[in-house]
Amino acid sequence: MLEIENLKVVAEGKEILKGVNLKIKEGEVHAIFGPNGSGKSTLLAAIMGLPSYKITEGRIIFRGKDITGLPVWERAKLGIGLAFQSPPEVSVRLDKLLERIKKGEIEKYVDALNMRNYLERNINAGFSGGERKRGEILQLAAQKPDLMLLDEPESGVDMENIYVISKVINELLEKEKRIKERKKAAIVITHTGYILDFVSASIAHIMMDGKIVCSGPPADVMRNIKKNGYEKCVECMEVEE
Amino acid sequence: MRGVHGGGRMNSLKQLGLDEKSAGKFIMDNEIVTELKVENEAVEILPSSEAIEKYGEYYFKAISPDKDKYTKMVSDGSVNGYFIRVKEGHTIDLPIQTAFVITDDGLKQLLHNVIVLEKNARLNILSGCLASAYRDMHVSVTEFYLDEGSYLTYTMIHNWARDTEVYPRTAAMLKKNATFISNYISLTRAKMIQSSPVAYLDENAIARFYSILYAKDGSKFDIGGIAKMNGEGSRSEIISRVISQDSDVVSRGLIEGNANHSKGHMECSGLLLGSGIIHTIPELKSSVENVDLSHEAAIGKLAEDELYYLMARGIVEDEAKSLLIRGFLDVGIKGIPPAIREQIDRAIDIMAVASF
Repeated sequence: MLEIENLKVVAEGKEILKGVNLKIKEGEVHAIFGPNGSGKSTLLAAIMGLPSYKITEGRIIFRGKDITGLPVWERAKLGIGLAFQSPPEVSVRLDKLLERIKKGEIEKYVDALNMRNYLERNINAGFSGGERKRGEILQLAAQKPDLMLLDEPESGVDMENIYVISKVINELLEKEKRIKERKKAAIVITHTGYILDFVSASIAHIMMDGKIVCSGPPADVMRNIKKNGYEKCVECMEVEE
Repeated sequence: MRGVHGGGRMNSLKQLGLDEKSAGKFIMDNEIVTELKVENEAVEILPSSEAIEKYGEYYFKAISPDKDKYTKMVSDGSVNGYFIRVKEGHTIDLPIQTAFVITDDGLKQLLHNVIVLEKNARLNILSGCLASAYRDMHVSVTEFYLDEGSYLTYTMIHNWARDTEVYPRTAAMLKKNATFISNYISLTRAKMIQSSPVAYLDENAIARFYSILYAKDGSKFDIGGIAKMNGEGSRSEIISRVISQDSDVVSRGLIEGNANHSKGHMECSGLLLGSGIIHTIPELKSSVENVDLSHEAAIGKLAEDELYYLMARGIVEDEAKSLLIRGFLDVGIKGIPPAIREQIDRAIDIMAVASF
Protein backbone atom coordinates (compact mmCIF):
# COMPACT_ATOMS: atom_id res chain seq x y z
CA MET A 1 0.00 0.00 0.00
CA LEU A 2 2.75 2.43 0.97
CA GLU A 3 6.38 2.44 -0.07
CA ILE A 4 8.82 5.01 1.17
CA GLU A 5 12.22 5.11 -0.45
CA ASN A 6 15.19 6.95 0.99
CA LEU A 7 13.06 9.83 2.24
CA LYS A 8 14.90 12.97 3.29
CA VAL A 9 12.94 15.84 4.77
CA VAL A 10 13.90 19.32 5.88
CA ALA A 11 11.84 21.35 8.34
CA GLU A 12 12.70 24.89 9.40
CA GLY A 13 16.02 24.63 7.57
CA LYS A 14 17.10 21.50 9.38
CA GLU A 15 17.29 17.99 7.98
CA ILE A 16 15.00 15.86 10.13
CA LEU A 17 14.57 12.70 8.07
CA LYS A 18 17.84 11.36 6.74
CA GLY A 19 16.84 8.52 4.46
CA VAL A 20 13.79 6.59 5.68
CA ASN A 21 12.73 3.35 4.01
CA LEU A 22 9.42 1.74 4.89
CA LYS A 23 6.97 -0.65 3.26
CA ILE A 24 3.44 -1.16 4.49
CA LYS A 25 1.02 -3.74 3.15
CA GLU A 26 -2.77 -3.84 3.42
CA GLY A 27 -3.91 -5.08 6.80
CA GLU A 28 -0.69 -4.10 8.57
CA VAL A 29 -0.25 -1.86 11.57
CA HIS A 30 3.23 -0.42 12.05
CA ALA A 31 4.21 1.00 15.41
CA ILE A 32 7.03 3.54 15.58
CA PHE A 33 9.02 4.18 18.73
CA GLY A 34 11.86 6.58 19.22
CA PRO A 35 13.13 9.40 21.38
CA ASN A 36 11.77 12.95 21.10
CA GLY A 37 13.09 14.72 18.04
CA SER A 38 13.99 11.52 16.21
CA GLY A 39 11.66 12.38 13.32
CA LYS A 40 8.57 10.25 13.99
CA SER A 41 6.01 13.05 13.61
CA THR A 42 7.94 14.48 10.67
CA LEU A 43 7.60 11.14 8.91
CA LEU A 44 3.81 11.21 9.27
CA ALA A 45 3.64 14.88 8.26
CA ALA A 46 5.73 14.16 5.17
CA ILE A 47 3.51 11.24 4.17
CA MET A 48 0.46 13.48 4.63
CA GLY A 49 2.16 16.30 2.73
CA LEU A 50 1.96 19.11 5.28
CA PRO A 51 3.73 22.05 3.65
CA SER A 52 6.22 22.99 6.36
CA TYR A 53 8.02 19.73 5.63
CA LYS A 54 10.11 19.83 2.45
CA ILE A 55 11.02 16.56 0.81
CA THR A 56 14.56 16.96 -0.54
CA GLU A 57 15.16 13.39 -1.65
CA GLY A 58 13.37 10.11 -2.02
CA ARG A 59 9.87 9.05 -2.99
CA ILE A 60 6.55 8.17 -1.43
CA ILE A 61 4.47 5.66 -3.37
CA PHE A 62 0.86 5.12 -2.28
CA ARG A 63 -1.18 2.40 -3.93
CA GLY A 64 1.28 2.35 -6.83
CA LYS A 65 1.15 6.12 -7.39
CA ASP A 66 4.03 8.50 -6.73
CA ILE A 67 2.50 11.06 -4.38
CA THR A 68 5.77 12.80 -3.43
CA GLY A 69 4.76 16.06 -5.13
CA LEU A 70 1.02 15.98 -4.48
CA PRO A 71 -0.67 18.61 -2.31
CA VAL A 72 -2.09 17.60 1.03
CA TRP A 73 -5.77 17.52 0.04
CA GLU A 74 -5.09 15.22 -2.92
CA ARG A 75 -3.32 12.77 -0.65
CA ALA A 76 -6.30 12.90 1.70
CA LYS A 77 -8.63 12.22 -1.20
CA LEU A 78 -6.51 9.25 -2.26
CA GLY A 79 -7.11 7.72 1.16
CA ILE A 80 -4.50 8.95 3.62
CA GLY A 81 -5.74 10.30 6.94
CA LEU A 82 -3.78 11.90 9.76
CA ALA A 83 -4.78 12.13 13.42
CA PHE A 84 -2.72 15.12 14.56
CA GLN A 85 -0.64 14.90 17.69
CA SER A 86 -1.52 18.46 18.74
CA PRO A 87 -4.38 19.62 16.54
CA PRO A 88 -4.98 23.39 16.42
CA GLU A 89 -8.19 25.17 17.35
CA VAL A 90 -10.03 25.75 14.10
CA SER A 91 -12.77 28.34 13.63
CA VAL A 92 -15.09 25.86 11.93
CA ARG A 93 -17.80 23.94 13.73
CA LEU A 94 -17.03 20.26 14.13
CA ASP A 95 -20.38 19.17 12.71
CA LYS A 96 -19.90 21.37 9.63
CA LEU A 97 -16.54 19.79 8.90
CA LEU A 98 -17.84 16.27 9.47
CA GLU A 99 -20.79 16.96 7.21
CA ARG A 100 -18.37 18.10 4.52
CA ILE A 101 -15.90 15.20 4.72
CA LYS A 102 -17.98 12.24 5.79
CA LYS A 103 -18.22 9.13 3.68
CA GLY A 104 -21.26 7.28 4.89
CA GLU A 105 -22.76 7.09 8.34
CA ILE A 106 -20.79 8.43 11.30
CA GLU A 107 -23.51 8.80 13.92
CA LYS A 108 -22.46 5.63 15.73
CA TYR A 109 -18.90 6.93 16.01
CA VAL A 110 -20.13 10.24 17.44
CA ASP A 111 -21.73 8.25 20.24
CA ALA A 112 -18.95 5.68 20.57
CA LEU A 113 -16.43 8.51 21.06
CA ASN A 114 -18.72 10.55 23.34
CA MET A 115 -18.52 13.55 21.02
CA ARG A 116 -22.18 14.50 20.68
CA ASN A 117 -21.84 17.53 22.95
CA TYR A 118 -18.92 18.85 20.93
CA LEU A 119 -20.52 18.83 17.49
CA GLU A 120 -21.81 22.38 17.59
CA ARG A 121 -18.58 23.79 18.90
CA ASN A 122 -15.65 24.99 16.87
CA ILE A 123 -13.10 22.24 16.32
CA ASN A 124 -10.94 21.84 19.44
CA ALA A 125 -12.08 25.18 20.90
CA GLY A 126 -11.69 24.69 24.63
CA PHE A 127 -11.33 20.91 24.20
CA SER A 128 -9.17 19.03 26.71
CA GLY A 129 -6.29 16.89 25.45
CA GLY A 130 -8.41 13.76 25.50
CA GLU A 131 -11.34 15.47 23.76
CA ARG A 132 -9.04 16.62 20.99
CA LYS A 133 -7.79 13.07 20.45
CA ARG A 134 -11.33 11.71 20.32
CA GLY A 135 -12.18 14.49 17.87
CA GLU A 136 -9.26 13.45 15.66
CA ILE A 137 -10.41 9.83 15.60
CA LEU A 138 -13.97 10.96 14.85
CA GLN A 139 -12.72 12.91 11.86
CA LEU A 140 -10.78 9.88 10.65
CA ALA A 141 -13.95 7.82 11.05
CA ALA A 142 -15.66 10.32 8.78
CA GLN A 143 -12.84 10.21 6.23
CA LYS A 144 -12.51 6.42 6.25
CA PRO A 145 -8.93 6.49 5.00
CA ASP A 146 -7.12 3.41 3.69
CA LEU A 147 -3.96 4.44 5.50
CA MET A 148 -4.30 5.97 8.95
CA LEU A 149 -1.45 7.98 10.38
CA LEU A 150 -1.90 8.08 14.14
CA ASP A 151 0.44 10.47 15.91
CA GLU A 152 0.43 9.51 19.59
CA PRO A 153 -3.31 8.87 19.69
CA GLU A 154 -3.24 7.98 23.38
CA SER A 155 -1.17 10.81 24.82
CA GLY A 156 -3.18 12.83 27.35
CA VAL A 157 -6.03 10.30 27.20
CA ASP A 158 -7.16 8.38 30.28
CA MET A 159 -7.22 4.58 30.25
CA GLU A 160 -10.96 4.33 29.75
CA ASN A 161 -10.82 6.57 26.71
CA ILE A 162 -7.77 4.83 25.28
CA TYR A 163 -10.00 1.78 25.16
CA VAL A 164 -12.81 3.81 23.53
CA ILE A 165 -10.46 5.24 20.91
CA SER A 166 -8.86 1.85 20.25
CA LYS A 167 -12.19 0.21 19.63
CA VAL A 168 -12.99 2.72 16.89
CA ILE A 169 -9.50 2.46 15.41
CA ASN A 170 -9.87 -1.33 15.26
CA GLU A 171 -13.17 -0.95 13.48
CA LEU A 172 -11.68 1.45 10.96
CA LEU A 173 -8.85 -1.03 10.43
CA GLU A 174 -11.39 -3.79 9.72
CA LYS A 175 -9.85 -5.84 12.52
CA GLU A 176 -13.00 -7.97 12.64
CA LYS A 177 -12.04 -9.36 9.23
CA ARG A 178 -9.42 -11.99 8.65
CA ILE A 179 -5.96 -10.56 8.11
CA LYS A 180 -5.92 -11.38 4.41
CA GLU A 181 -9.23 -9.62 3.82
CA ARG A 182 -8.25 -6.35 5.49
CA LYS A 183 -7.71 -3.47 3.08
CA LYS A 184 -6.71 -0.82 5.61
CA ALA A 185 -3.42 -0.08 7.28
CA ALA A 186 -1.98 2.27 9.88
CA ILE A 187 1.20 3.77 11.25
CA VAL A 188 1.01 4.46 14.97
CA ILE A 189 3.48 6.61 16.83
CA THR A 190 3.46 5.82 20.50
CA HIS A 191 5.64 6.73 23.44
CA THR A 192 4.01 4.58 26.02
CA GLY A 193 2.91 1.65 23.90
CA TYR A 194 -0.41 1.57 25.82
CA ILE A 195 -2.40 1.81 22.63
CA LEU A 196 -0.79 -1.43 21.42
CA ASP A 197 -2.49 -3.28 24.26
CA PHE A 198 -5.73 -2.69 22.37
CA VAL A 199 -4.67 -2.14 18.75
CA SER A 200 -2.34 -4.97 17.85
CA ALA A 201 0.60 -3.98 15.67
CA SER A 202 2.16 -6.22 13.04
CA ILE A 203 5.63 -4.79 13.41
CA ALA A 204 7.43 -2.11 15.42
CA HIS A 205 10.24 0.18 14.32
CA ILE A 206 12.65 2.34 16.23
CA MET A 207 13.57 5.73 14.81
CA MET A 208 16.77 7.43 15.85
CA ASP A 209 18.14 10.64 14.41
CA GLY A 210 15.98 10.62 11.29
CA LYS A 211 16.30 6.97 10.36
CA ILE A 212 14.54 3.73 11.08
CA VAL A 213 17.33 1.88 12.82
CA CYS A 214 15.67 -1.37 13.66
CA SER A 215 12.44 -3.30 13.35
CA GLY A 216 10.92 -6.35 14.94
CA PRO A 217 7.92 -7.92 16.64
CA PRO A 218 6.23 -5.18 18.72
CA ALA A 219 6.34 -7.08 22.00
CA ASP A 220 10.08 -7.77 21.67
CA VAL A 221 10.88 -4.20 20.66
CA MET A 222 8.89 -2.80 23.58
CA ARG A 223 10.44 -5.19 26.05
CA ASN A 224 13.90 -4.28 24.82
CA ILE A 225 13.26 -0.53 25.01
CA LYS A 226 11.94 -0.86 28.55
CA LYS A 227 14.89 -2.96 29.60
CA ASN A 228 17.76 -1.29 27.79
CA GLY A 229 16.59 2.11 26.51
CA TYR A 230 16.55 3.09 22.84
CA GLU A 231 20.33 3.07 22.25
CA LYS A 232 21.01 -0.38 23.63
CA CYS A 233 17.79 -1.73 22.20
CA VAL A 234 18.97 -1.00 18.71
CA GLU A 235 22.10 -3.07 19.26
CA CYS A 236 20.16 -6.19 20.12
CA MET A 237 17.49 -5.96 17.45
CA GLU A 238 18.01 -7.03 13.91
CA VAL A 239 18.69 -3.99 11.76
CA GLU A 240 16.37 -3.69 8.80
CA GLU A 241 18.02 -3.08 5.47
CA MET B 1 -25.03 43.40 -9.96
CA ARG B 2 -27.03 45.17 -12.67
CA GLY B 3 -30.33 43.79 -13.75
CA VAL B 4 -32.14 43.27 -10.49
CA HIS B 5 -35.34 44.00 -12.38
CA GLY B 6 -37.61 41.02 -13.05
CA GLY B 7 -36.30 37.58 -12.12
CA GLY B 8 -32.94 38.84 -10.93
CA ARG B 9 -34.62 41.26 -8.57
CA MET B 10 -36.85 38.53 -7.17
CA ASN B 11 -33.85 36.29 -6.57
CA SER B 12 -31.99 39.09 -4.89
CA LEU B 13 -34.94 39.92 -2.64
CA LYS B 14 -35.21 36.22 -1.90
CA GLN B 15 -31.56 36.22 -0.98
CA LEU B 16 -32.37 38.95 1.50
CA GLY B 17 -35.06 36.73 3.01
CA LEU B 18 -37.98 38.75 1.69
CA ASP B 19 -39.89 35.84 0.22
CA GLU B 20 -40.80 34.41 3.60
CA LYS B 21 -44.07 34.73 5.52
CA SER B 22 -44.40 38.03 7.29
CA ALA B 23 -46.59 40.12 9.56
CA GLY B 24 -46.18 43.01 7.19
CA LYS B 25 -44.15 44.29 4.29
CA PHE B 26 -42.79 47.58 3.10
CA ILE B 27 -40.81 47.72 -0.13
CA MET B 28 -39.56 50.85 -1.78
CA ASP B 29 -38.03 50.92 -5.25
CA ASN B 30 -35.92 54.00 -5.76
CA GLU B 31 -38.36 56.65 -4.45
CA ILE B 32 -41.64 54.79 -4.91
CA VAL B 33 -43.39 52.55 -2.38
CA THR B 34 -44.12 49.39 -4.41
CA GLU B 35 -45.47 47.20 -1.65
CA LEU B 36 -47.12 47.96 1.65
CA LYS B 37 -48.95 45.17 3.39
CA VAL B 38 -50.06 44.67 6.97
CA GLU B 39 -51.14 41.21 8.09
CA ASN B 40 -51.59 41.76 11.81
CA GLU B 41 -54.06 44.07 13.47
CA ALA B 42 -51.65 45.03 16.21
CA VAL B 43 -49.25 46.43 13.62
CA GLU B 44 -49.47 49.73 11.85
CA ILE B 45 -47.28 50.48 8.84
CA LEU B 46 -47.45 53.79 7.01
CA PRO B 47 -45.25 55.58 4.52
CA SER B 48 -43.43 58.31 6.41
CA SER B 49 -44.99 60.90 4.09
CA GLU B 50 -48.34 60.10 5.77
CA ALA B 51 -47.05 59.27 9.23
CA ILE B 52 -45.31 62.59 9.64
CA GLU B 53 -48.77 64.20 9.84
CA LYS B 54 -50.21 61.69 12.29
CA TYR B 55 -47.11 60.88 14.35
CA GLY B 56 -45.00 63.99 13.84
CA GLU B 57 -43.82 63.86 17.46
CA TYR B 58 -41.54 60.96 16.65
CA TYR B 59 -39.72 62.58 13.75
CA PHE B 60 -36.30 64.08 14.50
CA LYS B 61 -36.78 63.61 18.21
CA ALA B 62 -33.98 61.10 18.87
CA ILE B 63 -31.74 62.57 16.17
CA SER B 64 -31.27 66.23 15.39
CA PRO B 65 -31.72 67.29 11.76
CA ASP B 66 -28.56 69.35 12.24
CA LYS B 67 -26.42 66.40 13.38
CA ASP B 68 -24.48 66.36 10.11
CA LYS B 69 -24.87 67.02 6.42
CA TYR B 70 -26.62 63.69 5.86
CA THR B 71 -29.34 64.26 8.46
CA LYS B 72 -29.69 67.70 6.88
CA MET B 73 -30.15 66.13 3.44
CA VAL B 74 -32.96 63.98 4.83
CA SER B 75 -34.65 66.85 6.64
CA ASP B 76 -34.43 69.06 3.54
CA GLY B 77 -35.66 66.38 1.16
CA SER B 78 -39.14 65.02 0.57
CA VAL B 79 -40.19 62.50 3.22
CA ASN B 80 -39.74 58.85 2.23
CA GLY B 81 -39.40 55.70 4.28
CA TYR B 82 -41.69 53.91 6.68
CA PHE B 83 -43.39 54.24 10.03
CA ILE B 84 -44.00 51.03 11.98
CA ARG B 85 -45.89 50.81 15.23
CA VAL B 86 -46.81 47.83 17.39
CA LYS B 87 -49.60 48.29 19.87
CA GLU B 88 -49.16 47.84 23.57
CA GLY B 89 -48.75 44.32 24.87
CA HIS B 90 -48.72 42.58 21.50
CA THR B 91 -46.15 40.02 20.48
CA ILE B 92 -45.78 39.79 16.72
CA ASP B 93 -44.37 36.37 15.88
CA LEU B 94 -43.73 36.66 12.16
CA PRO B 95 -41.19 39.30 11.19
CA ILE B 96 -41.99 42.51 9.39
CA GLN B 97 -40.00 42.74 6.21
CA THR B 98 -38.77 45.95 4.69
CA ALA B 99 -36.65 46.54 1.62
CA PHE B 100 -35.11 49.49 -0.13
CA VAL B 101 -34.06 48.90 -3.69
CA ILE B 102 -31.98 51.26 -5.80
CA THR B 103 -31.86 50.71 -9.54
CA ASP B 104 -31.61 54.30 -10.84
CA ASP B 105 -28.09 55.50 -11.55
CA GLY B 106 -27.07 58.56 -9.59
CA LEU B 107 -30.10 58.33 -7.26
CA LYS B 108 -29.87 59.79 -3.80
CA GLN B 109 -32.34 57.68 -1.84
CA LEU B 110 -33.27 59.76 1.20
CA LEU B 111 -35.25 58.01 3.91
CA HIS B 112 -36.71 58.69 7.27
CA ASN B 113 -37.88 55.60 9.17
CA VAL B 114 -39.54 55.47 12.57
CA ILE B 115 -40.24 52.35 14.60
CA VAL B 116 -42.41 52.59 17.70
CA LEU B 117 -42.99 49.72 20.09
CA GLU B 118 -45.53 50.47 22.74
CA LYS B 119 -45.30 49.00 26.24
CA ASN B 120 -44.45 45.29 26.32
CA ALA B 121 -44.77 44.92 22.54
CA ARG B 122 -42.43 42.49 20.78
CA LEU B 123 -41.37 42.61 17.15
CA ASN B 124 -38.76 41.33 14.71
CA ILE B 125 -37.88 43.36 11.65
CA LEU B 126 -35.91 41.99 8.72
CA SER B 127 -34.66 44.79 6.56
CA GLY B 128 -32.99 44.28 3.20
CA CYS B 129 -31.26 46.84 1.06
CA LEU B 130 -30.33 46.14 -2.48
CA ALA B 131 -28.62 48.33 -5.01
CA SER B 132 -27.67 47.79 -8.62
CA ALA B 133 -26.98 51.29 -9.84
CA TYR B 134 -23.99 53.55 -10.39
CA ARG B 135 -23.03 56.58 -8.32
CA ASP B 136 -26.01 55.94 -6.08
CA MET B 137 -26.42 56.98 -2.50
CA HIS B 138 -28.56 55.71 0.37
CA VAL B 139 -29.04 58.18 3.20
CA SER B 140 -31.37 57.30 6.01
CA VAL B 141 -32.46 58.55 9.38
CA THR B 142 -33.96 55.81 11.51
CA GLU B 143 -35.43 56.40 14.95
CA PHE B 144 -36.52 53.69 17.34
CA TYR B 145 -38.81 54.35 20.30
CA LEU B 146 -39.01 51.33 22.55
CA ASP B 147 -41.39 51.81 25.42
CA GLU B 148 -41.17 50.00 28.74
CA GLY B 149 -40.66 46.26 28.52
CA SER B 150 -40.74 46.16 24.72
CA TYR B 151 -38.44 43.90 22.69
CA LEU B 152 -37.21 44.55 19.17
CA THR B 153 -34.80 42.65 16.97
CA TYR B 154 -33.80 44.59 13.89
CA THR B 155 -31.80 42.65 11.32
CA MET B 156 -30.37 44.38 8.29
CA ILE B 157 -28.97 42.26 5.48
CA HIS B 158 -27.54 44.52 2.86
CA ASN B 159 -26.39 43.98 -0.65
CA TRP B 160 -25.00 47.19 -2.07
CA ALA B 161 -23.67 47.89 -5.53
CA ARG B 162 -19.96 48.56 -6.14
CA ASP B 163 -20.53 52.23 -6.33
CA THR B 164 -23.05 52.80 -3.54
CA GLU B 165 -22.43 55.26 -0.74
CA VAL B 166 -24.39 54.52 2.40
CA TYR B 167 -24.97 56.91 5.28
CA PRO B 168 -27.46 55.58 7.85
CA ARG B 169 -28.06 57.72 10.93
CA THR B 170 -29.72 55.71 13.64
CA ALA B 171 -30.82 56.31 17.21
CA ALA B 172 -32.80 54.16 19.60
CA MET B 173 -34.48 55.34 22.80
CA LEU B 174 -34.96 52.48 25.21
CA LYS B 175 -37.25 52.94 28.17
CA LYS B 176 -37.15 50.84 31.32
CA ASN B 177 -36.72 47.09 30.67
CA ALA B 178 -36.75 47.51 26.88
CA THR B 179 -34.49 45.36 24.69
CA PHE B 180 -33.01 46.30 21.34
CA ILE B 181 -31.02 43.80 19.30
CA SER B 182 -29.53 45.23 16.14
CA ASN B 183 -27.86 42.98 13.58
CA TYR B 184 -26.06 44.53 10.65
CA ILE B 185 -24.85 42.23 7.91
CA SER B 186 -23.14 43.68 4.85
CA LEU B 187 -21.15 41.28 2.72
CA THR B 188 -20.61 42.96 -0.61
CA ARG B 189 -18.45 45.78 -1.84
CA ALA B 190 -19.73 49.28 -1.31
CA LYS B 191 -17.91 52.47 -2.11
CA MET B 192 -18.55 53.83 1.36
CA ILE B 193 -20.60 52.82 4.38
CA GLN B 194 -20.54 55.09 7.38
CA SER B 195 -22.77 54.17 10.27
CA SER B 196 -22.72 54.44 14.02
CA PRO B 197 -26.11 53.81 15.60
CA VAL B 198 -26.69 55.18 19.09
CA ALA B 199 -28.79 53.59 21.80
CA TYR B 200 -29.90 55.50 24.92
CA LEU B 201 -30.74 53.12 27.72
CA ASP B 202 -33.01 53.73 30.68
CA GLU B 203 -33.19 51.55 33.74
CA ASN B 204 -32.56 47.84 33.12
CA ALA B 205 -32.73 48.27 29.36
CA ILE B 206 -30.61 46.07 27.12
CA ALA B 207 -28.98 46.98 23.79
CA ARG B 208 -26.94 44.60 21.68
CA PHE B 209 -25.27 45.55 18.43
CA TYR B 210 -23.89 42.80 16.21
CA SER B 211 -22.09 43.62 12.98
CA ILE B 212 -20.96 41.10 10.42
CA LEU B 213 -19.06 42.90 7.70
CA TYR B 214 -17.12 41.75 4.69
CA ALA B 215 -15.47 44.72 3.02
CA LYS B 216 -13.96 43.73 -0.28
CA ASP B 217 -12.40 45.09 -3.39
CA GLY B 218 -11.59 48.63 -2.29
CA SER B 219 -14.58 49.24 -0.04
CA LYS B 220 -14.43 51.86 2.64
CA PHE B 221 -16.40 51.09 5.82
CA ASP B 222 -16.56 53.13 8.98
CA ILE B 223 -18.92 51.28 11.24
CA GLY B 224 -19.58 51.25 14.92
CA GLY B 225 -22.12 51.42 17.67
CA ILE B 226 -22.68 53.62 20.67
CA ALA B 227 -24.48 52.60 23.84
CA LYS B 228 -25.22 55.25 26.43
CA MET B 229 -26.27 53.47 29.57
CA ASN B 230 -28.11 56.19 31.45
CA GLY B 231 -30.34 54.00 33.62
CA GLU B 232 -29.35 51.85 36.55
CA GLY B 233 -28.84 48.19 35.73
CA SER B 234 -28.80 48.75 31.98
CA ARG B 235 -26.68 46.45 29.85
CA SER B 236 -25.08 46.67 26.44
CA GLU B 237 -22.99 44.63 24.09
CA ILE B 238 -21.26 45.68 20.87
CA ILE B 239 -19.84 42.78 18.91
CA SER B 240 -18.33 42.90 15.45
CA ARG B 241 -16.72 40.51 13.02
CA VAL B 242 -15.02 42.38 10.23
CA ILE B 243 -13.19 41.09 7.18
CA SER B 244 -11.19 43.51 5.12
CA GLN B 245 -10.08 42.24 1.75
CA ASP B 246 -8.14 44.95 -0.05
CA SER B 247 -10.40 47.41 1.74
CA ASP B 248 -10.25 50.05 4.42
CA VAL B 249 -12.32 49.42 7.53
CA VAL B 250 -12.67 51.40 10.71
CA SER B 251 -14.54 49.43 13.36
CA ARG B 252 -15.47 51.53 16.33
CA GLY B 253 -17.57 51.30 19.41
CA LEU B 254 -18.32 53.40 22.45
CA ILE B 255 -19.97 52.23 25.62
CA GLU B 256 -20.80 54.80 28.26
CA GLY B 257 -21.68 53.80 31.78
CA ASN B 258 -23.54 56.76 33.26
CA ALA B 259 -25.54 54.93 35.91
CA ASN B 260 -24.69 52.52 38.67
CA HIS B 261 -24.82 48.79 38.07
CA SER B 262 -24.68 49.22 34.32
CA LYS B 263 -22.67 46.66 32.43
CA GLY B 264 -21.17 46.81 28.96
CA HIS B 265 -18.95 44.62 26.82
CA MET B 266 -17.40 45.21 23.43
CA GLU B 267 -15.70 42.75 21.12
CA CYS B 268 -14.10 43.68 17.78
CA SER B 269 -12.55 40.86 15.77
CA GLY B 270 -10.91 41.62 12.46
CA LEU B 271 -9.62 39.35 9.73
CA LEU B 272 -7.31 40.75 7.09
CA LEU B 273 -7.18 39.31 3.61
CA GLY B 274 -4.89 40.73 0.97
CA SER B 275 -3.78 44.30 1.46
CA GLY B 276 -6.62 45.49 3.63
CA ILE B 277 -6.62 47.82 6.59
CA ILE B 278 -8.61 47.36 9.79
CA HIS B 279 -8.55 50.02 12.44
CA THR B 280 -10.45 49.15 15.59
CA ILE B 281 -11.34 51.90 18.03
CA PRO B 282 -13.07 50.48 21.08
CA GLU B 283 -13.90 53.14 23.65
CA LEU B 284 -15.22 52.85 27.17
CA LYS B 285 -16.37 55.80 29.22
CA SER B 286 -17.67 55.88 32.73
CA SER B 287 -19.02 58.75 34.78
CA VAL B 288 -20.06 56.82 37.88
CA GLU B 289 -18.26 54.45 40.16
CA ASN B 290 -20.23 51.27 40.08
CA VAL B 291 -20.08 50.10 36.46
CA ASP B 292 -18.62 47.10 34.72
CA LEU B 293 -17.18 47.84 31.29
CA SER B 294 -14.84 45.73 29.20
CA HIS B 295 -13.60 45.36 25.66
CA GLU B 296 -11.46 43.04 23.61
CA ALA B 297 -10.14 43.58 20.14
CA ALA B 298 -8.11 41.32 17.89
CA ILE B 299 -6.96 41.48 14.29
CA GLY B 300 -5.41 38.56 12.48
CA LYS B 301 -5.09 36.79 9.18
CA LEU B 302 -6.22 33.32 8.17
CA ALA B 303 -4.13 30.94 10.26
CA GLU B 304 -2.02 28.57 8.18
CA ASP B 305 -2.21 25.73 10.65
CA GLU B 306 -6.01 25.88 10.54
CA LEU B 307 -5.93 25.98 6.76
CA TYR B 308 -3.67 22.94 6.47
CA TYR B 309 -5.64 21.10 9.09
CA LEU B 310 -8.73 21.37 6.90
CA MET B 311 -6.77 20.55 3.75
CA ALA B 312 -5.46 17.40 5.46
CA ARG B 313 -9.11 16.34 5.59
CA GLY B 314 -9.25 16.43 1.80
CA ILE B 315 -10.61 19.96 1.37
CA VAL B 316 -9.04 22.06 -1.38
CA GLU B 317 -7.40 25.33 -0.40
CA ASP B 318 -10.08 27.75 -1.59
CA GLU B 319 -12.85 25.82 0.09
CA ALA B 320 -10.83 25.56 3.29
CA LYS B 321 -10.46 29.35 3.22
CA SER B 322 -14.17 29.92 2.78
CA LEU B 323 -14.93 27.48 5.61
CA LEU B 324 -12.65 29.48 7.88
CA ILE B 325 -14.19 32.76 6.79
CA ARG B 326 -17.63 31.30 7.39
CA GLY B 327 -16.51 30.22 10.83
CA PHE B 328 -14.99 33.60 11.62
CA LEU B 329 -18.22 35.41 10.79
CA ASP B 330 -20.28 33.10 12.96
CA VAL B 331 -20.75 35.47 15.85
CA GLY B 332 -23.46 33.49 17.63
CA ILE B 333 -26.12 36.20 17.80
CA LYS B 334 -28.35 35.73 20.81
CA GLY B 335 -32.00 36.60 21.25
CA ILE B 336 -33.24 36.36 17.66
CA PRO B 337 -35.89 33.96 16.34
CA PRO B 338 -34.64 30.86 14.47
CA ALA B 339 -36.14 32.04 11.16
CA ILE B 340 -34.05 35.22 11.24
CA ARG B 341 -30.98 33.30 12.28
CA GLU B 342 -31.51 31.11 9.22
CA GLN B 343 -31.68 34.19 7.00
CA ILE B 344 -28.42 35.48 8.42
CA ASP B 345 -26.78 32.07 8.04
CA ARG B 346 -28.04 31.82 4.49
CA ALA B 347 -26.64 35.23 3.56
CA ILE B 348 -23.26 34.32 5.04
CA ASP B 349 -23.26 30.90 3.36
CA ILE B 350 -23.93 32.42 -0.05
CA MET B 351 -21.14 34.94 0.51
CA ALA B 352 -18.65 32.37 1.78
CA VAL B 353 -19.22 30.09 -1.20
CA ALA B 354 -18.80 33.01 -3.59
CA SER B 355 -15.76 34.47 -1.90
CA PHE B 356 -13.08 32.29 -3.51
